[in-house]
Amino acid sequence: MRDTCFTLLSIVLLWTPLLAAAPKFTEITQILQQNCVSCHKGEKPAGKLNLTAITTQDQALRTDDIWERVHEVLRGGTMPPKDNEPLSKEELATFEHWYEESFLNVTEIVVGASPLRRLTRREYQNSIEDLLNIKLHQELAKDGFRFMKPPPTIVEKLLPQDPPGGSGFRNDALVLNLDQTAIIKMLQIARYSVDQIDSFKAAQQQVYGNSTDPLTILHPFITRAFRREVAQQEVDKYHQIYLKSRTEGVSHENSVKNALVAVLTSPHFLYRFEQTTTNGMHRYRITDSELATRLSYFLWSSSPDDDLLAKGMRGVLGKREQLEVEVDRLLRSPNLIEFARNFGGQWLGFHEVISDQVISTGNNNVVKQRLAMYDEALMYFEYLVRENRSIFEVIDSRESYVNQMLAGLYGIKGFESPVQTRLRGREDAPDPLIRWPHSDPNRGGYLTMAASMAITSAPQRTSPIRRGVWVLDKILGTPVPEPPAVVPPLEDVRIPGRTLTVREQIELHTANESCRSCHKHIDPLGLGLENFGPLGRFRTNDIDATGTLPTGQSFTTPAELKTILVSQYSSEIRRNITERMLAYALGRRLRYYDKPVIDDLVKQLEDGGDHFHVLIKSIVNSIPFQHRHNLTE
Amino acid sequence: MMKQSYLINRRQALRGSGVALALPLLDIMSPAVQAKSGDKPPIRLGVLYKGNGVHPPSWDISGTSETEFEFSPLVKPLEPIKEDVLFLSNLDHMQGGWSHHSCAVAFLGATGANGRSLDRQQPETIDQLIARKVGNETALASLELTCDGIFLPEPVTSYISYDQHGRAVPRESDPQIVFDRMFRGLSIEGGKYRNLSILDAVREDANDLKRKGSTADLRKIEAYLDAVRQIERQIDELNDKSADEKYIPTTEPELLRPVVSDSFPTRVKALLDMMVLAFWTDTTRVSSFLMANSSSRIVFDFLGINEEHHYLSHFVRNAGTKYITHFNMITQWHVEQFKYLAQRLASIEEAGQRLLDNTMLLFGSSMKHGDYHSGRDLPVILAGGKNAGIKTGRWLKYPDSQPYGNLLAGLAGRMGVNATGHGSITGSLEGLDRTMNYNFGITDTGRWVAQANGNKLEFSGLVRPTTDLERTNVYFIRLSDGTDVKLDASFGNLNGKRIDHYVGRVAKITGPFRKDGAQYVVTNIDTIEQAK
Repeated sequence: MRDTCFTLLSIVLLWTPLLAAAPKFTEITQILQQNCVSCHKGEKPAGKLNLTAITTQDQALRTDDIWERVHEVLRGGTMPPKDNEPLSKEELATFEHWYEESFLNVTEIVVGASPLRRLTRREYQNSIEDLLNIKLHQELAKDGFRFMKPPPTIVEKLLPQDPPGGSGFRNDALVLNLDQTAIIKMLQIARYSVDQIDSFKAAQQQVYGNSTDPLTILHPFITRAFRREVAQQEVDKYHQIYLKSRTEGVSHENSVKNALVAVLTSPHFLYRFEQTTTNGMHRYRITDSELATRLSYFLWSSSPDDDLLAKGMRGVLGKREQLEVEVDRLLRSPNLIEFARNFGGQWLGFHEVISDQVISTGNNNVVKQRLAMYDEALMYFEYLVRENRSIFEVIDSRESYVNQMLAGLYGIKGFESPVQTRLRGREDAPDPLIRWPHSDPNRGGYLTMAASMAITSAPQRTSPIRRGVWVLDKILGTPVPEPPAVVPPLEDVRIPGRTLTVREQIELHTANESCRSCHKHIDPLGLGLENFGPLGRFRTNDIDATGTLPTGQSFTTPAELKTILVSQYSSEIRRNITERMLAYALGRRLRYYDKPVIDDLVKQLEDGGDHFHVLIKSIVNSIPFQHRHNLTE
Repeated sequence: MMKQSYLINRRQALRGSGVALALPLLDIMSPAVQAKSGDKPPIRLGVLYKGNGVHPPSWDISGTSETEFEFSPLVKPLEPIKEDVLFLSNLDHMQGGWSHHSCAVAFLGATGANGRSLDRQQPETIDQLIARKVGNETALASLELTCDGIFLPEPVTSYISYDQHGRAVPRESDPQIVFDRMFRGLSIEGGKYRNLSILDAVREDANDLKRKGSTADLRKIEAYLDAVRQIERQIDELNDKSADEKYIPTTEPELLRPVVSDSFPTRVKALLDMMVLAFWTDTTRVSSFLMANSSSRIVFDFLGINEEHHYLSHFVRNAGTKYITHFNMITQWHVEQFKYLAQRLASIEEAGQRLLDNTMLLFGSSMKHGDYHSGRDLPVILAGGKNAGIKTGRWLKYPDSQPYGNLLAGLAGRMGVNATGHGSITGSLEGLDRTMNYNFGITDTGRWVAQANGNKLEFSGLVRPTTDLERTNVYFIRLSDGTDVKLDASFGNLNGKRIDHYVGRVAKITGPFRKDGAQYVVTNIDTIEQAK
């Protein structure tokens, strides 16, 4: 068998033109010129695709999504359109060869694009709080006393939510814009924030120290705000604002504040600017301060603290061991909750469980329940990362965080709340979440967690389709395409005298060929979770949660489904979480050229026992995380 | 050199410390401000958008002429203001806009979205094009509002306004913040000296970055600089204007900031009030309000509806009277918001006329059939705009399909902005300003007949939807002899052949059939085309 393969392979290698040098882009231009450009040119090209605008291999590489499309339609034969001459066999082969060499057979690890990143709304709020040592948000009480949605902070009230970008995350550089209105609002927020210094002793200590000299105050403040060494003339510029205010008769204190407001509105603060070299180098390592900044926004969604910044400015993060000591320190910090909130919440979508749309209905019980669900998901993610658990515990685990309300929802017997007995049962009694190991194989992990079940349900019923799509997309990283525009009939099957069960309705999908290709993947996953009601409550009445995955494995309970996923789909899951986290760390959607680095990270993760810290550290140590490439997007 | 903004002093009369406006007082307030004779008030454009399409049979208007028509169930709320509205039929998307993700952009962009993600460059929308031309005359170039969230899998569904760089324009959803932007410290006038020197410093920083930055970063730094320059320019202009006292308020009204409310309808009303206030004070002349994004999942629990808006819009696949009724209740509620906005504007006097006469309102969805996602005969309505040359009180049904974008060009043109060539726009839509006397009745040529040919039926006739709300996937084709061919095909077939495009039009169809008594029942559309 092996021998035959080998022989065949040699013949192929000897006889196909694959060995020929990759076609030059000029050859591709010629093919396009002959076949495509008559329609795809000019200001109003067909399909909004102007192929004449791309003239060099460099430009072609930067427009990989266009070529992916072109490749697809040429190979599928949908282009050129019916009445035109199709591409000749040779032309098609040349194009395919060029496409593969350019986009698929990439083996070298590259830096990729490093677009300029604005702080997200959350990063901006965190950074202001940390810089000034003030609190803009209402703190969660120590006992987890939480049954009301906290009022929005001034930042959340004034600035609109950032939409997610192509990476699926809100920290995607390409969608983080700034307009006039935002700058006006940021001026307002900066003013409000510096006024808060007066209310916090710690803030006065941090910002003013014991100094009344504006320069002594401004220099360290600007350093921390801009996250790097600052030149004296930069400080002087802000000192000018102080001096100007003073000559206008403004008090010392308020003049300092005016300068602070300017610092907090500067592009140096709002954007994570990284130095560019002028020596024409395309790829170069970023400075250690810049690395410190990337690191702290990755794991804390905030600016580096004094320790980290100092190490960055001293340039001692270059050695892997030293850097990892810092990573370990960041992973131990309470600020790690921001990684759970932003990366975990947006990846798995659990932040949607407390979206304004859901929570504004005002029903107190709904709000309490939703907040508990959110906190459970958040605390569990933080636990996974902080305690360096296996990435597969995203799917299954015997550890959980519950409170009285969730214990009721999950039907946990013998749950003991730490709340004092005299308070129990009272409407306003605190209901903190505590760590609660359990032995129920159907529970544990995000797959069956209340938050996941709720965000994938319609208001009062479950939606197996949404759940299946969620598992495929978020857990396995194999999102399904949109249903075709022409959706085939579902309504034609009616059984007189009774309504179809959910399973019967859904199984209609698989009766149709064009639906089956996706729904054979979606439906068993979704139906397998039918034991969980729209809010995640376990139910058994008339529920048939058995199923068979397209790869042949059968299951009868959610527990078995989880076991199959973890054991049979581990490589999909590993690759998925790697890609998600890398995209989040880099603040951009991943491209064809990122494949080698992803492959490398996946291997490190597997070799390292699939632990969270392995992945985080290998990302931090990766070429794209530590380098810049002056690509224009 | 001084740009004159009409009513700028009305704004200035309202701003200042602790000044807030109680909206019901608008009416009392207006006589207090008198326009200088000879000044023509500016024209404004207000846009109200709702996603997810409509139930076409409940939307479509029927009638015999431009003025003789019956209000359909969904537009019924507008009957009391019939004289102020202009219904439009037969406006079609010409370029994209045929799906949830594509059609939000198409509503003001006249062309479908570029992908699903906001990192793609989207077409500039007409409201922003107008704002770019006329926005420098007012404190805010434009005002974008919403009461919906972001649909995360397809963020492009959640914005209807895109700037000249193709970026989604952020929206306000908190009426208090809108108010503050207009009248309080959030406006650029607050602390202008202090802000100016701060702006100087940050502009310097940005310029510095521009020199040192990589070419890839330039665009972003440039955008930051642009924004700062705009703020500075506006501060300058406002300083000019304060010297020019044209209007003197005769009373000092008591003004209140809108209250925060958790109630969805209250918040929507407050946002609509903010649009009225923005127009009245000439704070802006262009405003868009996205009431439901183009794949909206809002649950209208205050109407007693517990399913999501998008789910209900798929009323064929999720068959049942209840779903259609609920879907229609939502659409009707949106129409009522439009009515409220028009009435508010009508109740305010401006230069001896109504504010509504100087405001063109556009309401609608950029999808027709909620389940088929069709983009033909879009459900859109105009209101007001008399002084812009919009002749209301009519139902204008174009005999032939018109590019929907041309309607946008018609509105832009009335604000002095040429939008021709933008997206699919070929020119300005005719007939907005005058009676067209189109022949509405479809003339029975006597050739609407059915002919059996083996097991296939070949027939022509007028296509009508069913009135049975329990089975919406049925159509009737009226023949010359007064009988109907029943079209009872699968959803996939009817959707695939885009039956919805032919409703109210004459079509020639072939397909297999059976006989149900004397009636032909066609079970599949093999071919369909519009009959000549």
